[in-house]
Amino acid sequence: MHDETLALYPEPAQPAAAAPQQVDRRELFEFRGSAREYFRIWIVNLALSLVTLGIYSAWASVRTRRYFYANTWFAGSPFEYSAQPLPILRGRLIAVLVFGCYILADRISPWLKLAAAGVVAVVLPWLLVRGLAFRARYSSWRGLPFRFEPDFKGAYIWYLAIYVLMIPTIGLIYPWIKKRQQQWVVQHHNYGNSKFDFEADVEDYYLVLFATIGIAILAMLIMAAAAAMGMGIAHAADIDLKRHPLLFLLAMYAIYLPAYLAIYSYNRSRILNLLYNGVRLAGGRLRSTLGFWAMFWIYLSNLVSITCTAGLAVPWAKVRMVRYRTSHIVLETAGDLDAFVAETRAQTDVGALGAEMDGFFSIDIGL
Amino acid sequence: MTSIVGTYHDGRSSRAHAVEVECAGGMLHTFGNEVDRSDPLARVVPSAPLSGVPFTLRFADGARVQLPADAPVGEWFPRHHRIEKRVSGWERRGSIAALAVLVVALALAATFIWGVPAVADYAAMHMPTTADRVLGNQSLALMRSHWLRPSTLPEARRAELQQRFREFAAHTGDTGHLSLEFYDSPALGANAFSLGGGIIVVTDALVRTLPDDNAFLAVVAHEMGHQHYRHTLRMVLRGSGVVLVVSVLAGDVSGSTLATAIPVFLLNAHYSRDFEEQADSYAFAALERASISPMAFVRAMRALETAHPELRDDADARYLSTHPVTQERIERALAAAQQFQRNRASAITLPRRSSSRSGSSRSGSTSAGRHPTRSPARP
Repeated sequence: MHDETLALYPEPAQPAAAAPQQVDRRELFEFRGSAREYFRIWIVNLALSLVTLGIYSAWASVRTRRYFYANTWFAGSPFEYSAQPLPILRGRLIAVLVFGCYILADRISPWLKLAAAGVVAVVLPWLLVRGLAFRARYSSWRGLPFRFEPDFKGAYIWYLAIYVLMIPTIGLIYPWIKKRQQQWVVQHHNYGNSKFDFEADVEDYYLVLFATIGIAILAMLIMAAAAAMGMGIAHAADIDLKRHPLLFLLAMYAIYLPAYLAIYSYNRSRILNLLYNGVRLAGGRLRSTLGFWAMFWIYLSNLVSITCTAGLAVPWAKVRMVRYRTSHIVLETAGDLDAFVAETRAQTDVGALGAEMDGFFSIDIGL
Repeated sequence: MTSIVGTYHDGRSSRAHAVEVECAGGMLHTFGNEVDRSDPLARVVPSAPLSGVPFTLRFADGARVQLPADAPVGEWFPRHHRIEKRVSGWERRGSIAALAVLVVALALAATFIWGVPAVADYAAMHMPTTADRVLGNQSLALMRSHWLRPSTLPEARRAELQQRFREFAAHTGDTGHLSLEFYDSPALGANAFSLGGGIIVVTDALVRTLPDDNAFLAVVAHEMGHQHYRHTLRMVLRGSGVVLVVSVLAGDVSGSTLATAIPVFLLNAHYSRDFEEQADSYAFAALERASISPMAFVRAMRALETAHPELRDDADARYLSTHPVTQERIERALAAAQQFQRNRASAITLPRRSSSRSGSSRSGSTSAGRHPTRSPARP
């Protein structure tokens, strides 16, 4: 479950010279798209993608992203997504090929799977950098593009080598790794010639981890109780579950899904809050106030409505989630949002392979 | 000629300028707050139309101007984005959206019912048999470490069955790579399954449950059918294809893994039922070639349904099951047996062939009940 909304990309901000006596303004993010409008875009593009055996899907994905970016407004101006479909098509074809081999290896033999996972782990940081660079390169606000500085060495340190430390610390180092990963991602982003910075306390990451474990234990207890109760009801009503596999399956889902989503929503909302709250740009800072219960409710009701409508509710579900997320982020700044300036050097084009690949391998860059 | 209100960005700073834009005589005029420029249309790149999204016109120097989504930009640039202009028109119409729902439903059905199986089977045909063997050995190793123990059948009995199996297999032409293996498995009960690469596993309980050796051969013949058609490898490829297509489609949809789990499961069960039917047909043909009546298959099914009474199912479970409902299988076996008898009769009494058409092809199915068996199950 990655990228469930769209990489709500950019966090712009304001430039230097934040006079200390000024009171911080709050500049709002806002999503202005509508589920009705997006439904038509989605279904027409999906139909075309299927009819063209996937070729059109590159155009479809550009149109989708353009719709979401252009309807995300910040301080009175929309974001813009300007990638071209052809490079995306190329990247997507390679990604499908690689992912196909990976699934196959997974099913044929555990050793092949291990080898494939090894290969993926080694190329993953490289793909991550390329993916981030691609997204940033083609995202802009008020005519200025974002940029991600391609730091391959950092990617290999923070997304591969560092995991060695998980073994001696029996995983206790994970929150610190997570923090450093977010920091690495944010600090390599620029808007115009302004660099993003990142400030966060590692203690907060530990609190999130422990709370997540606590919720997981609680959820498991509730699940066990619910399962026992369900079995009791089935027994009392003289229903032999073995003879009703459909009923049994549905009951399993009814118990398992809310528990899973609760754990997921908690972790997701808190980690996103940590990420956004850490973002600094030219004297300004983001404030993110995503709520656990709100996210949980959106995920759960989205899932139920998507299942009940055989997928037709997907556009509505997506719009809801994006709308919630954008409405809970603000930029606190005292500076002038008109004063960002472009970099002097021009940006070169970036290949789309990384950006396409991470969709398949669930590289969670947490944006 | 009217001008259109837009927002101008010079590409050097984040400052927005309110401007008006006019298009006349092959030139685009942009003027307003500190901006006044005229560019030939050939030096301006427009974005593709998309409802609810403003147009962006990009100038050669990196500046751009945003115009409302309903601006007549398409008329200014008749040669740009021809396909997307048409798509954009479709996206604005409810009737086209309704049509698209239908197209998506049909296309998805076609993809999963024909597309994925066809591509997967084509790929399987072009894969070396080593692939099946690797698969089979891996699954066997896995099963041995979990559910299989050495067989407790008497050595002589096993040798006898092996002998019968070899004789039987000789009739089918599928001999070379097949290997029949016996294991004791309390967890799996009376069961037989086919792993890739010619490995057929039979549990001790199955041997004890079946009434006679021909019934045993009927079950083994079903598993040989799976081997003959390389069902294990094809199932692996089809399953991978489904995951791949679903991943591409679901891409960035919220909760996609959870929401698609049930459809994916049902789809795999659907493919599996097809394979079971094919293996049954193979078994009937193989039995006939060895001059054994497919009634042996019926006897095997009935013996197994007695051995596993807890596995009775309801008709509504049909789409969940990896195997066809047993009643249907028994009926098909009975029909095959009928045909077998007729062929036999006509072979013996050649001259009176024409009178043998009257027999009902459906006799004896009344007592079959609707009991499934797990017998020729694959893991």
